[in-house]
Amino acid sequence: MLNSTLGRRSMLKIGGAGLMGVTLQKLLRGADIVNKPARAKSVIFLFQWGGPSQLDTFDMKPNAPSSVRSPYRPISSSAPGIEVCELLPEMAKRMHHCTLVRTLTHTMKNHASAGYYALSGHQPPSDDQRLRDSLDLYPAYGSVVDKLAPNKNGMPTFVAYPHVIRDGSIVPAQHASFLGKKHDPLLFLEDPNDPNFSLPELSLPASLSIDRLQRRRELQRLIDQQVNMLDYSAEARGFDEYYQRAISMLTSDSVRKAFDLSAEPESIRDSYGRTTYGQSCLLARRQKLFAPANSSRTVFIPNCLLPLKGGPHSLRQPPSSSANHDRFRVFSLPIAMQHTP
Amino acid sequence: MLAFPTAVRAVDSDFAIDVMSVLSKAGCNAGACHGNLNGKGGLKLSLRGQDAIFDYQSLVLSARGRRINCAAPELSLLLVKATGTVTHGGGSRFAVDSDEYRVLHQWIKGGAMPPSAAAPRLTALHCEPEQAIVNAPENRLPVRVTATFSNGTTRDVTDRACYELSNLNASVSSQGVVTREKFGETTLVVRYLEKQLPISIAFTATDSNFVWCAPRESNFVDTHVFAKLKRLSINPAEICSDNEFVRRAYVDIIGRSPTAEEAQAFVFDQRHGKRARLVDDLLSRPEFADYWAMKWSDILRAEEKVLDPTGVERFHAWIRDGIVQSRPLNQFVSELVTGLGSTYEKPAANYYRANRDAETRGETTARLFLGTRLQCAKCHNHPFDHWTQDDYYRWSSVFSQLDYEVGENNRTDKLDKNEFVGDQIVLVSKQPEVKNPATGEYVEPKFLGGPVLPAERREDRLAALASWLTSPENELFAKSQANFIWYHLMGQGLVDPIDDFRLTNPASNPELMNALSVHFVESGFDLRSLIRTISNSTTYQLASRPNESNVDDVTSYSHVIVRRLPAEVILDMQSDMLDLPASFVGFPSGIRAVQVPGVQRKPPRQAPAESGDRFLKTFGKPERIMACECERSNETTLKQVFALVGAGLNDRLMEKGGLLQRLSHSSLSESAIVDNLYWTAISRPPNDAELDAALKLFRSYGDDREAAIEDLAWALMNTKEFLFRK
Repeated sequence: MLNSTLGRRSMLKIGGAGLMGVTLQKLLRGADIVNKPARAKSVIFLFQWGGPSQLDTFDMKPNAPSSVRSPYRPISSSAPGIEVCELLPEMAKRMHHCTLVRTLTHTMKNHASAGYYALSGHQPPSDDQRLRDSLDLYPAYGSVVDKLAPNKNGMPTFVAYPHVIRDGSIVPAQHASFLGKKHDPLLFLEDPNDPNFSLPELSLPASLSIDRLQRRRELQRLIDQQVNMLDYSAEARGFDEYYQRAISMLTSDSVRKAFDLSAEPESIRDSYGRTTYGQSCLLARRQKLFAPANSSRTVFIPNCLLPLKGGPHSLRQPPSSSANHDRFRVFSLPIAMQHTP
Repeated sequence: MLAFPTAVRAVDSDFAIDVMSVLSKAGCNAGACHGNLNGKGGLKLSLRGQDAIFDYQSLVLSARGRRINCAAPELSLLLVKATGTVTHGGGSRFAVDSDEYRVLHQWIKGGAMPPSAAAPRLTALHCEPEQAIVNAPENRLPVRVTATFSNGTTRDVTDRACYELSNLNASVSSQGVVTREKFGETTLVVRYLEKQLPISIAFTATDSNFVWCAPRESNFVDTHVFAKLKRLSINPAEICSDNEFVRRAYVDIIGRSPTAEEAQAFVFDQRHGKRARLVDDLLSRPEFADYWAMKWSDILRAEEKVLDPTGVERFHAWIRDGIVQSRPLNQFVSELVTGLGSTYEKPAANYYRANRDAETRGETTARLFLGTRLQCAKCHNHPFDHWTQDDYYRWSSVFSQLDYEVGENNRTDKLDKNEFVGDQIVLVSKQPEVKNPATGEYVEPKFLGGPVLPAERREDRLAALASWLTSPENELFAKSQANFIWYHLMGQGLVDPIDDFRLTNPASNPELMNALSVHFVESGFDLRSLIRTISNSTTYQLASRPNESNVDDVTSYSHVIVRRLPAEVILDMQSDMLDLPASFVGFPSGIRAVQVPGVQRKPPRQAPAESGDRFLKTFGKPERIMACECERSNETTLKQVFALVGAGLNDRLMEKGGLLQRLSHSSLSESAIVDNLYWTAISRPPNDAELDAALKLFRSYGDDREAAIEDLAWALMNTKEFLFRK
């Protein structure tokens, strides 16, 4: 870990000085700091499909001509030298916890290809709205983690909710693609903000007690033993192992708790905002808290369209139109402010 | 005569031969390194050294010549990078005292001469052995590679050739020595300059006690499969039981399991030849057409967005009708590739409605009907095959003269550029030929691996295409179609993947591949005839349980491959078991999953998917976007198990009015109920242990017979016997 006296920003400055012959590495070695790469234990990836632009959040360009600059003013934040939008005062207090990357860019002109680029990290074969979700395209980040460093604690490695990102066609790179379906996310489309939110897949139907489920499983095992297919077919054996996992997830307290939003105090739920986005973020946090003690990696991707009720269509206005900015003022930015860590 | 020694040295360090082979051997021009489309670290070489002139320019002339230093060769960037003396992203590729280093050093010292037109060219490559069986305890196979040049000389290039194996059954050294990692087969691809050769190698465990079990040969399929097994000292599994066979034949041929009555009638039939009779019987059933129409609908992209629901329905009906009518497969394909007109009235025209530009039409036609993957050759010469970029665009040009008369598009989703609702007319129209982007020139149409389209046939080129493509002389057509059918019955293509026929990916049993193809042509491209031949073979009827000698075999068909059944088959089997239909969006209740013509009749925006649609998606029904069998997944996932353990299947078990409820209210004894459920679900009776356990279950529920029946049905529908084909 980096020495606290060497702040991130000063590091970046020094990093820049590498051009003049002093590399950051040499400097760190000189300062006797061990440069350990940081390793994430869990990742919450909020994909802001249709979210506010950089112009309305972290890069207001106040000195640009009025046709270009944001209608909002920048305010200073807790991170020296970083200004944020005036509509994000809470964010401003916490900016010293954040890393703001200003250099990320691409040249895509279409949602499907740009979305794929961002979701996979791979340049699409063509910049075309007709880019279709197919097995020759690259997988989602979470599927890569599931392939290379799967969770071993009974929790799913990769959970995705509550939308499938699409603009007309489904945007590629939201599943395992050529890595194979077993690395697909555990995807659900139920709205965490729905008062009756529950995951039918992760909860036992009311008519099915744990006891009864176990009885069924025993009977299934007895029948399976008669033909011994599990002994010689890795495929059949693998499928059987999923039963073990599924049943332990269905009957395990930690998994059920992790997905049980209703256990959160009302005040916490309110503070996250009673929106699909807000409750999705809370659910992601909850999963992390309720993961078993030695939990390794867990990747969540709540795919959130900010103006949820209207879907992506309500974002059709040109970004500079006043209607759009009003919508941000009353809707998107408060949501963003509420849930940015 | 004085010039002679110099001439020898010139050959020794010729750019096109020596330098190029060293660049390949060291991996410099691999796809992940400088052979990448954009090069690496500022240096771009042609992929796997397919263009010596380009590489010479990159190495010597570009970057203002900084890569080569003729005055002090050892300081050349090329050498200090390659030996890792200075930082090199690819690390150290060879040492200073290596042969590779010596070759490059000598070439630079000699003035870094360009490839010379007068220098000898590679004319042939020869490997010794051409194929091999390596019996334990021997575990190594050294390969010798000899190159012949245009000046008549030959040279041992074992050290210079590149070696790649098709799988991890063995490893290979840079000197061409293949070492066994485990018993089984592998293919070594030997590459030297622009030529490559495959060597099939089998590593077998010799057992001095091995006795060939001499199983009965039913037809030529067995002759070829058993000949290979005997060669490899592998005994095939025993013949499967009647209970296994009846289930296998039903699911493979008509895509559903037998009812209890059907299974019992077959198993208790004492007459001779009942298996062959069952196959004949299944081939004439209407479900046969349903099931095989689904397979072709997958790869022909019968999908609602591009064809629209009406188009999908008509296209699917046309495909199914072809199967009902026993339309020969060559005629079926001819009609597809000449399919013009209204996509509603002439359903075959949907082939081109789905494949909308010349390149896609060329790629799809090559993949489906010639078993050839061409996409690589779109951007560069194919790295594992002999197709060039020129071949690719000349083949595309065959498909260049098509256009669409498009009416009003009543898209349901204005943003979806793939969606088209309404009829379209596919028509021939005068268009420029396809341009090869590498040369910028329009190219003349030429059939893939076949003749140039004669000038007088340019006008009706699709008819010319059809007669060339589906002619009995076109080996690749017959083989790829026979392999497709073999794959669907046996679970693995003789050429695997089924759309990847090439010299460097040979059939696992080339004699059988040829024989199947010849049989298929002689039968008049008859689907049923080929299915009958395969199903009646002993090979098809082997058990799935391996024996000691064949447990490691995965490519020689010594035992049957266990695989999860397709999504549609499992869902229909559930419906049959419960005697309750599944629901699909846009269809009246009662349609079976294998009968659904497309992917999803209404877009999700109009109507949420029904439970049946969701089940099919979870279990890997393809979206039909790719024109590739590979799009269908028979992988197993955690989510599938959730659908079977949790609410999904449980909701269906609780539905009223089906078989389970009827049984519970019937006067049948409990053991009769158990017997019925077993036969219905898995085509066999319960054994004593199973019957005991089931009766115990009934007792534990007391009067609640229904609950016991639900639990037993759940257990049966979740056994691997139900979900897998064995």
